[in-house]
Amino acid sequence: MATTGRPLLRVSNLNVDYLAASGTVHAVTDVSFSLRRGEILGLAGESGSGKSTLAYAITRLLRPPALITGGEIRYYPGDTVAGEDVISEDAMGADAINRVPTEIDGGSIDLLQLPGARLRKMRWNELAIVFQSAMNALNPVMSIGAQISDVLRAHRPQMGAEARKQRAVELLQLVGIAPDRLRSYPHELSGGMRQRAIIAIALALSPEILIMDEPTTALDVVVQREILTEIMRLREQLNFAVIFITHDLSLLLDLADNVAIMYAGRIVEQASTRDLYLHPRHPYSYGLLNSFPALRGPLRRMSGIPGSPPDLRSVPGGCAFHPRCPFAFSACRVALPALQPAQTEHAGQTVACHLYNPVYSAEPPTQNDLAKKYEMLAEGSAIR
Amino acid sequence: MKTQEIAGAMGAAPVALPPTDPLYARILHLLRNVWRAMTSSRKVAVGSAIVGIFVLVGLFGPLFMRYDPEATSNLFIAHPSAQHWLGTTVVGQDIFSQLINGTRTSVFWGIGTGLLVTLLSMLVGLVGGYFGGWVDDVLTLLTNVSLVLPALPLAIVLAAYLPRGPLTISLVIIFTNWAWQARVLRAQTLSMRSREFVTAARSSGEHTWRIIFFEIFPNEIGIVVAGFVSTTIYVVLTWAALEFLGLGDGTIPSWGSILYWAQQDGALGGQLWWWFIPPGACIALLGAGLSLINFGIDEIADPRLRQDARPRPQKLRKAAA
Amino acid sequence: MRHILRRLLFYACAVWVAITLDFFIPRLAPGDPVAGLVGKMSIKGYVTPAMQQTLAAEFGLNTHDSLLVQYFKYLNNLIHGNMGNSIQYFPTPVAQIIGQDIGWSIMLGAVAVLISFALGCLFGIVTAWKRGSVLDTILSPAMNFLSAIPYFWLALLSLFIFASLLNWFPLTGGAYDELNFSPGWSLDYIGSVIQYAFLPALTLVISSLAGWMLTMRNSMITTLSEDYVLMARAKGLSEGRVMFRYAARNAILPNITGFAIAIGAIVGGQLLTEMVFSYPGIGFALFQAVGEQDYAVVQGVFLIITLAVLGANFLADLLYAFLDPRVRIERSA
Repeated sequence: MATTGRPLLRVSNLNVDYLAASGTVHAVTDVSFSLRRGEILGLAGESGSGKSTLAYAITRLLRPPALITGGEIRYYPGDTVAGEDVISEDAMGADAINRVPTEIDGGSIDLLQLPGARLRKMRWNELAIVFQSAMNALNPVMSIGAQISDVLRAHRPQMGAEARKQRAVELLQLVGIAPDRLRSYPHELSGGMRQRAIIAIALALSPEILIMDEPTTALDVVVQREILTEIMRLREQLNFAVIFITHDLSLLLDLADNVAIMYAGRIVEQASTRDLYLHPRHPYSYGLLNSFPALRGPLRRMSGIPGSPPDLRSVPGGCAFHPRCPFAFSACRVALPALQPAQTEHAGQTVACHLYNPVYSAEPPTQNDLAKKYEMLAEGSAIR
Repeated sequence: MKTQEIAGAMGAAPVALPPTDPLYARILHLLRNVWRAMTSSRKVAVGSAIVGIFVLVGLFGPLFMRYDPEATSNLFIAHPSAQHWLGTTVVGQDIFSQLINGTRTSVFWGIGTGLLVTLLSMLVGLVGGYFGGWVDDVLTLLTNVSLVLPALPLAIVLAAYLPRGPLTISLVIIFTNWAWQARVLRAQTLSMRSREFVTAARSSGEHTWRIIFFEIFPNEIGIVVAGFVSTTIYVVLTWAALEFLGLGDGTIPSWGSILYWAQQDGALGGQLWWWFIPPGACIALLGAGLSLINFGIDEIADPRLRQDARPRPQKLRKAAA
Repeated sequence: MRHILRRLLFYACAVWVAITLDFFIPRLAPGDPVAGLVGKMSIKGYVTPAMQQTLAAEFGLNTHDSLLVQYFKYLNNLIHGNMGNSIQYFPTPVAQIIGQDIGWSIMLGAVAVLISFALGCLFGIVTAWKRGSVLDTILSPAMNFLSAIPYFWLALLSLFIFASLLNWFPLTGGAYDELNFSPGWSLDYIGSVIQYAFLPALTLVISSLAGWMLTMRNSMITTLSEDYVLMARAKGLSEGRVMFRYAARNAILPNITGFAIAIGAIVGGQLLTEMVFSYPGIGFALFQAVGEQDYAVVQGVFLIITLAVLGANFLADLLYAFLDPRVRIERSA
């Protein structure tokens, strides 16, 4: 867990809207977080919480009718090349040339303001994205090898054909694919191999940040485990930062350093993984964590979280979660809770909930309180 | 599936109502959906209007002709005038009357033949797609062979040998053009067949023919309609081409035969533009109307093809603190 | 490999169907074809008994062979390249007539198809890429309109305007100015050939351009929303590379089949074109033969056209298999 303190990416008050004929949908509202070098940040939430939109907004891959309507995304390139790469000497030297220059605006770049050519240069070099469905993300009429050398040819013009092939082979070996697969087409590989191929392509230019959008959702659990282990190993080796997007919180508990929980387009809780696991503050987070049974421990009735995520065209007033929250009180219906540090003994956890706001609530609920309320829900649903 | 998407775009329930509803209710529901589809898209509305006008002219036009289209006169190769709106032919026949008279043949034989082609291709496609096995293999082979043989040359050869007349041309066109739609429908039926509602129908003992025509077919109506429109365009054009080549019965009036006589009697060299431009324009217009309907259906079914108003990129506002 | 073998088998079957159709169709004509023909030919000149014999032989009428035997004799003749003799130009063999005319058809058709395909695909790619731009808003509806115009009417119009009214191009037909020039590599001859072929080719290009463009455009629009195009952009590849290597390369697949089939249709002799412009290709020969009831030529031309189309379709299959690797694996039914 090498988080070296200096921020790599800082998102401030990001807003993304979808302009539809029937009205504007706020897919991402007022999202702020920062990512440090080598950190793995988990972004969790149900479908429609805005996590994929957020990822695409950061990489500026949104297509109309989606539009970034506000906010800032600052990238701090720094002057160190990310970790040690298994690339050849000349490519290493060339790497430095091809990195985005650092003397800009006092060391940081606003990604949202980057003009076309600079954005293109930055893409994949600094920021790479691993898509959810590898089958759809790979060009069906190009071999895997060609899709890797594509990137090399675009960003490393000084590399010759031989060097590109060598690098491609290195990358495939890095993710555990045999080099003879260089000439294979996507449909000739298994699901797991395709996902690993996508990861290999993502790592081709040794990016600083890797955004992974539900990379294992389409795979069975065994392969899922393999891929996750692979990702962790690669991160150890190459020290890139990861924004890992998923709806499956259990994956993040193993993988991530920090977790941000999203609901209806906003971040409702942010904490280190350990803190979140041991004492989730937001009732939603608690519900999520307790939606899957523990391997050990006493038998208990589970309720999940009643209801379903709101339609983003008509988000409930006040706190968006209040219709489903077992703790909802008067303030929740009218006032929007801000993301603030929870006033508990463990610092560093931020939560957007009135229960932790001394203005509205005298005592923040303890873990026991949360547990009891959810149990009552479970009992209640059993009776019904 | 176009129908469901069309219906979905209207916010209506899908066309395939449960089998327990009486037939007339389902037909009414279908007609209502068709009307809604027709009036929602501008392209479909304009196209339907154009076709509608031609149908009306075909139905009632001959009642209002000023001259007998066959009647010759002394006024030959006359320019358009108040007396003869489109001038006269080389033997003094009024071209406008001929045009109106020909509309009936061209439009109705055209639409009728299109209908027959659609029916035949439906039969082959549905049966082959549903039954599978050797039936499908045989039908597919027939379809593919028919697809691969060149249609116009074959049509010309057939029409040349068979007795001349609109029936021959109609049969020839049907014979050479049923395969395309059959293949499309077969593919669609194959994918429908594995759906749950079909399995449910079969396990509840529903009769095979009922399943084909009342369960599967209603879901394919969109494709069938689009196919019918495309086919009719092609039929009208091919019909005119065959007539133009002299393979029709020159005495039966149609737009194509007017063009044939125009060509034969040297309208081009003699610059008698009023003779050959109007019939061609009619064919083009009818084709355009049908094409518009088709494009409209395409757009309804695939929202990506619609020309939506793009949101203008606004200046990034600083988010309120 | 198996895929290709299966296709080959299919085409063999189609060829057999075509030959058999060609054999049976003339026998559909009611009445005694020989008497009718003799009647027609007598108008032109005396019909010798030898000619009558040949005619009867064409239809297997003087032999009392059964239909089956006639059929096998017919097949046998075909294998030896014997398609009988023309009746109009008796005793010129049909094969010779076809040989003379096919060159012109191929030249005209190949040029037209290549130009319209290339331009059409290019326009389709660009208008889809820059959807909603000025180019797109003008070009797309214009193409829609053009595609609705019936071809032969367009041909008649252009002949009327450019040949009859403006006199830029010849009105009476032919492949080149036969009075003044003779075949050879002289500039005059080539210039004449171009002059006579220009209008037919132009109408062909205009009428088929719209089809290529609209199919390509629709295909591109669908492809552009695919994830792999998004990923290509995310990879920071140049716009050009994303547009051509990722999007167009996939979007063009439906058009490729169409292209090969269009090539096959070239030999089909652009029937209407040649008829309107009286261009001496194989299609014009067919048309004249139909008019003159020269059944031997009709049968021969139909066969050649069909064989060419089948051959082109087969090549299309090969090309598609080469371009789309997904097709090469054995597909389960």
